[in-house]
Amino acid sequence: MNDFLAPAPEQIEEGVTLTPEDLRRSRDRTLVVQARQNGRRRQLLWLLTGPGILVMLGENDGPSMLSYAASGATYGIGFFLPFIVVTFLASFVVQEMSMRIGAVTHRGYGELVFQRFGPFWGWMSAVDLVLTNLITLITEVIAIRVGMAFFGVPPLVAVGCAVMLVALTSSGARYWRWERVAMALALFNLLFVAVAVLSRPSLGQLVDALITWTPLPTGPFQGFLLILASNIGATVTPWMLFFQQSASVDKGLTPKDIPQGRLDTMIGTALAALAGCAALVAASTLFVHHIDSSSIQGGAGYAEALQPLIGTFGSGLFALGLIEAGAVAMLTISASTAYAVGEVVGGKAHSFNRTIRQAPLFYAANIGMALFAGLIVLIPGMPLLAITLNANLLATVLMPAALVFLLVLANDGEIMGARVNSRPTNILGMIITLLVTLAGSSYAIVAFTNSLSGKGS
Amino acid sequence: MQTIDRLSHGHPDDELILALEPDQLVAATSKPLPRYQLSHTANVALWLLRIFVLLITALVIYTFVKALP
Repeated sequence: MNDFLAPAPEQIEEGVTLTPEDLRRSRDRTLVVQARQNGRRRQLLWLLTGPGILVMLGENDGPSMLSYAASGATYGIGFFLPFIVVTFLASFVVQEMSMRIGAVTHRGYGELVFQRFGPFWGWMSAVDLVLTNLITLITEVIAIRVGMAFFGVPPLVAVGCAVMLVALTSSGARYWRWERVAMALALFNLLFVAVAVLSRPSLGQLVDALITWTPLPTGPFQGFLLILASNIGATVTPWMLFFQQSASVDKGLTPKDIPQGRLDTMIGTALAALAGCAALVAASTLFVHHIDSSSIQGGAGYAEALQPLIGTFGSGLFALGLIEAGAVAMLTISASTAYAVGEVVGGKAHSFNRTIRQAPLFYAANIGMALFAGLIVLIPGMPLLAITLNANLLATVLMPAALVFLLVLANDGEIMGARVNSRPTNILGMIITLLVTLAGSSYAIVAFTNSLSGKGS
Repeated sequence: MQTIDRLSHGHPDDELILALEPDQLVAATSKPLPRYQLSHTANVALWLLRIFVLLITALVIYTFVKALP
């Protein structure tokens, strides 16, 4: 038997009961085995890509793109262009660990925290995730609503489309189908690159900013910290850990697939960094023209603000990009919630390879969260703008706890064997945890003291 | 739940299922892993981190609510 055809029949216990989930996953895995046997590298990569690209482009969501746009419009490209690149590199380090743990243990993040550290920490992780995911999902629906409003679509229709998208893509009981639909949508994130090109940036200034990190931001410190923490929360967040690990498990990745999983994450990082930087560059046109970005955030949005500078086509693309960003994130963030709920509520099926009847809790969490977020957005008088601006911040604040568990799991020799973290990965992981903690807590403390003294941002 | 009895030899699904690793089957992943033995120091550190995160979250929520019009 070929080395890749694990396991040998005698290794499987007699009388083991197979579920439909096993069979559906095995159909996808058969193609992987055949591609590997026949040395078809490109096909192998095509079959194994998915969770990495999706998690990265999914995190280029509504609030993230608005954070990048706010950075460009407020401070120009000087400091934040290289900063965004660095945050994506940090995100790659974290997500690679997440993928590797999933491929080796075949268990999701929530499941592992629950089983290895006990129900208390498992529940705490899940509560953190559900809280941040709910707030983030609200912001995704806001992004879709704002984007569609640019084209004259009424709020009720926009919100209905958002919820229907989650419900329709979830049908079919196949992880592969769900993943490919989401990936096809995610590629439209690159619309922001077209918007950036239409804004005609100076190539020399871009290169200069990437090398020198200048000009440095000026203005109120609290405002700078808010943008800084929001940009970190735009690339490193708890749902990403839950999602990529669980999606890698649902896809059926094994330790042999780690190189392709790593490449998948790398491609996702590059595409997402490109789109994120493009949003910053496009909105920096407003900074160049000395347009007050705070008034834009309070108005009809960046798409309309950019219209006189880059034209109707460009601003229309920005609005489309915003709809796409919200739509893909709704799929991935709802999925991460569903995985976490299924993993933590012991023994419940949690896979897109199950039907709704076989995994009712999983699908109820997936579609229910999207529906709940949609209903909140429709409540008149909700502070939608304030929620959007603070969503990434909350993710940054709650991230250190998730990162510490990830690092412990990635160094857990009992479950990871020889695939524990290397020393450089551990050092990078610890630096990232420390910086995320510092960024979140610095903003929280400065904003809190300013609010007590009545200074505000 | 619908299940399929495995390894009645010659079952048409046998060939398919060989593409999965034994510890990848739902039957295997449904078995919980043993608890990690956290040292006292690690336990205290996790608690301190949790308290810190909750405090910072409270500050963020307070600032957010206070800033609402």
